[in-house]
Amino acid sequence: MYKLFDLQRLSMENGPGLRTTLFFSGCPLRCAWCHNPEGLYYNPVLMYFPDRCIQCAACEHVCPVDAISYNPEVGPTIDRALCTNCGDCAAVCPTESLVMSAKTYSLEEIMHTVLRDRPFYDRSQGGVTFSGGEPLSQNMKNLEELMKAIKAERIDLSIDTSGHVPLANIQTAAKYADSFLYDFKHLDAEKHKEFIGSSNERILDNLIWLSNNGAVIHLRTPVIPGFNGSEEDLASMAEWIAENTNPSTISLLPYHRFGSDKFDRIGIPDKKRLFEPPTTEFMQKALEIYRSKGLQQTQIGGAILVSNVI
Amino acid sequence: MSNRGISERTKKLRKESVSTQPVISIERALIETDVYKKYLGQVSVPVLRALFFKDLMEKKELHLGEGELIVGEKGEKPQAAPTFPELCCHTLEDLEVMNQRELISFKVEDEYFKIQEETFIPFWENRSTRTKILSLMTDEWKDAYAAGIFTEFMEQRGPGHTVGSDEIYSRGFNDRIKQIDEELANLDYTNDLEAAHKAEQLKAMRIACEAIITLGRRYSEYAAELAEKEEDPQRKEELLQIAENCRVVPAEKPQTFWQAIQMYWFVHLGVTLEINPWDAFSPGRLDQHLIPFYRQDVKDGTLDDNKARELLECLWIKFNNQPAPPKVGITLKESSTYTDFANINTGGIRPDGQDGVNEVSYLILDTMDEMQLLQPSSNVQISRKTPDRFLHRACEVSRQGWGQPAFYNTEAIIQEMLNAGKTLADARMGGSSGCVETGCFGREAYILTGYFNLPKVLMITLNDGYDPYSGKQLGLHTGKPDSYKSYEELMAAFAEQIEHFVSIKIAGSNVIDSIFAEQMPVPFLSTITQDCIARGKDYNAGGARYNTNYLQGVGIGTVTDSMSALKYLVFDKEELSISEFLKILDDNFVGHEAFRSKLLIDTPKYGNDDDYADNIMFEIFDTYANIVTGKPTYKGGKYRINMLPTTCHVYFGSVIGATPDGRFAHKPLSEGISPVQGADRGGPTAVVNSAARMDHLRTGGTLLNQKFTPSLVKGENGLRMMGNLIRTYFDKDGHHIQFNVVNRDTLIEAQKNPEEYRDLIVRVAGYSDYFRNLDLELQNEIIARTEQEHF
Repeated sequence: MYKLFDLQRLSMENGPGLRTTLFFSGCPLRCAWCHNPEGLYYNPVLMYFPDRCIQCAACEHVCPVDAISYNPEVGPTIDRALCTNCGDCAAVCPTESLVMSAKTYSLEEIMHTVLRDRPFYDRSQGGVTFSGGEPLSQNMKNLEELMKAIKAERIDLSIDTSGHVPLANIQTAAKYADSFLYDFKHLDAEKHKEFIGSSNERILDNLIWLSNNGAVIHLRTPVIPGFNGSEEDLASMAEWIAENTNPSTISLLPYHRFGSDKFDRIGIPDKKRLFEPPTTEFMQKALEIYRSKGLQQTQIGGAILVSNVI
Repeated sequence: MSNRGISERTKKLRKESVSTQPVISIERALIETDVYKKYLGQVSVPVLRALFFKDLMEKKELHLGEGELIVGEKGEKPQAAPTFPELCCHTLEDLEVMNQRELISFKVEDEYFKIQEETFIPFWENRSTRTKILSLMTDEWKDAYAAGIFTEFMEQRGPGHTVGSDEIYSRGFNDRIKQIDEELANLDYTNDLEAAHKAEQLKAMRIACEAIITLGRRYSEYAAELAEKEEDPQRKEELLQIAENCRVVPAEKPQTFWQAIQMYWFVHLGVTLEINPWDAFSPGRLDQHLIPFYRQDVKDGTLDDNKARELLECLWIKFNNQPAPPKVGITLKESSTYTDFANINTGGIRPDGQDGVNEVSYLILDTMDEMQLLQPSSNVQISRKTPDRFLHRACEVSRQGWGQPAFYNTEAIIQEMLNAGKTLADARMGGSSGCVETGCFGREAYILTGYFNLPKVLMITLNDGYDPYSGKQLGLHTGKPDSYKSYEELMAAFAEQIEHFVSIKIAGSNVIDSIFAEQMPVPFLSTITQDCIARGKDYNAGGARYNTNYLQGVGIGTVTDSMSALKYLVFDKEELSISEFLKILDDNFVGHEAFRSKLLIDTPKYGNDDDYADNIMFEIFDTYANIVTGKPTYKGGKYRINMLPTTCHVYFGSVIGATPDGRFAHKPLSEGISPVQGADRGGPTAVVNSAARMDHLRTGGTLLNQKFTPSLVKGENGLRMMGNLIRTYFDKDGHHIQFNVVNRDTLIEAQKNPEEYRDLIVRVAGYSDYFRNLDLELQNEIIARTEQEHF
């Protein structure tokens, strides 16, 4: 079984062509700017959308640990310290005001949906992307079965990874994946640790391994002022890339604040507001820095355009 | 409002066209009344119609506006709409409503009221086809019509859907006169018992040809006269050229690109003045018709792309100058717009089966992009052979968010026509017109007869034939609500009721067709429709090579989701009985909010690529198609179905209470074959897959609307997504897809401040309209259509 917090069809920026992206729940990293916080946890968490509530109070009655107190004025209040994320309240909520962050899918269910969109992949040279969370920090035996099933159908498979996983997992994925979307966030190990919670050594080593073993790599760097948004940071990253790896494309992704409300939904303080989005001028500057280091394959934005497909 | 146009000339003409208030034109009705008073009873009906047409062409006021390159108006000036009292004689109250109503208004001069009261009403009131039709319909027809089970296209308009063919550009009207004379000479009065009748038809057609030639000659003389007085040498030159153009066409075939466009325009005026054929008249495959002239002129050095585009813009403005003839009553509700549904097909394939995209195709895309006018509706036909470059450019125009071009599937259109018995050669000459309707251009009379309210028939079925809206037992007694043991039994009863109402509808249409065939022939249109001359038979009597009557199913999304909810909750889960469900619907879900919410979220819905719902959609589609398809028409053709609504889903929704899909009473139904507004939650690929579950090739057209916000289609990646979505839908035999690319906030803003968004055009159904011209409910509905923002 697979825990996904989204199964997104007609996904356009997670690899070439039109794709179906599986967002796996659970992530070993804690990026300070995370824009999918509902995907951080390996088990589903309760999400609350206040706008959808119709004040039926059904949730209050079913909570087994009395974590929900219902008030007709403001709707339900969830005591996150008591809540066990059992999902009983979400099951009775008629309006999807309370929902669990992830759903469990069988291999057959995933393949059913994936195969439905095969004509779109065929037309656009698209396929399936594993994203997250972190797709390569899942049960690898399970994941390998899914990868096998997708490749048995000759569907393009792309893996969107942070790289912060055991090398063995990367090696397993490399047997099946047609390409990797690989995050490269900072060269400085200390800074990496400060903002992301872990050092970057493993990430860099795994990237070099993939490069040396002929993987198709689309490198992705979120540009975040206050984290990696100085010209020196970007120049050092570009130099390292030019020296150690040869990605097919490099995407510079301007940090944005969309999704801040997701933190409220799962009841944790919003950390996203710590950062400011970069200006268009700065993004242009970042692009110039990368290109000046010989990385002509650099672009702003995550779209990967396949040539000659409409 | 932006000032669009490739030259100062077209900027000025376009501005006049969009800023002029439509008015009622009296000229046509006056001339027609005079001719009828003079000749009625003295000559045959076809000749009477032709004599009226001749008088109109001889006497109508000429209009040659400053800077115009293409000449001719239906009324005395741009935005003057003639009336058609022989079809629908307006009451004084009708005129007052037209004059006063906020939307789709027509100013009526005081003088007109007087003439209407003293001249038109006394003469036409009992002679109009509308009066005759309503007096001949049975009580069960009238009851069903009044209850909103179906509408009737011919109630105040003539049979429409006429599209020009290649022959308009390759033959002059003198050549047609020659053919008519030959047919007249060859009539065999000894063995052909219809010969005398044919002779009258042919004589009428001959008079009509002469009449249109007269109009051309009058314009030629008028332009020469103006040239004489003109002091600006450049304009003088243009006027002399216009005089020359109108000397050649329509009498003879056109020689240049400019003349070819003028030729089409004369024919357009002839067809739309002879009668009110809703769906106006369309130039069909304009790029293919114009390409030989374009290439010759470019080779001769007399035409370049800017000049060609300016001429095309002049044609576009001419279309936009002609508001659809004023409608009243239910017909206004089913089609509430000034748009007259001319629809130009660009791209597709050639008659020899090769890719049809040419240089003019791109110029037409540029023209629609620059003009951004309601009329003519413009679409592109995309075939497997269409180059990506063309599709890419069409997506670029489409994503600007005003709804044009729409995209049609050439292979689907051809297969639909082959399936309807046309030859391959003829099928390749066809396309889509009106909204999305398939037809064989210049060779077929394909008539929309009315919309059919599928969800209403389901509600009547659930109520054992009783209609709560009209308070009448309209349907058959097929069983009390709780008598159904299974979903299959309910479905069988629903099928019985559909058959019952379709039969009532078609019985009425057969009578109506006979009225038009015998009393309202169209000799001019017949001269340009193959094989009317050869058969000596009028277009309205079956003279065209092919004859089809369409009955358009409305609300497939609503009826599918309703049936799905019944199957899921009543028969699968046994959560409640049908009568309990009906009680909740009677309450319009008041006090059952949680039940309704669960209904919206839990029950399978069409548009989500979910077989449970999509199989129900197919079953209902299949039932409806099987009941309608193949029934004989008065003209010797067959009935077939379309799945399109124009604006009728709003009217049809207003005559139904709450439905089991969670829809509140009187709210609009789903439109076209699009999912219920907001019910599709799986994104565009899921919608496309669900819609493709329908067997499009058995229809004569389906309509799928997708609303995107600008963010989804931005950049090169967004364009490719659109292109790939279209290609894949068409791989799956989808007939048509169109896009509204507009931000929800923009629409809400436009609703609040209509004055600031006067030029905001949105795609409504098979056509675009100004957002400010839509009534509040339709505006809300467009806002409610699912935005595919979060993908």
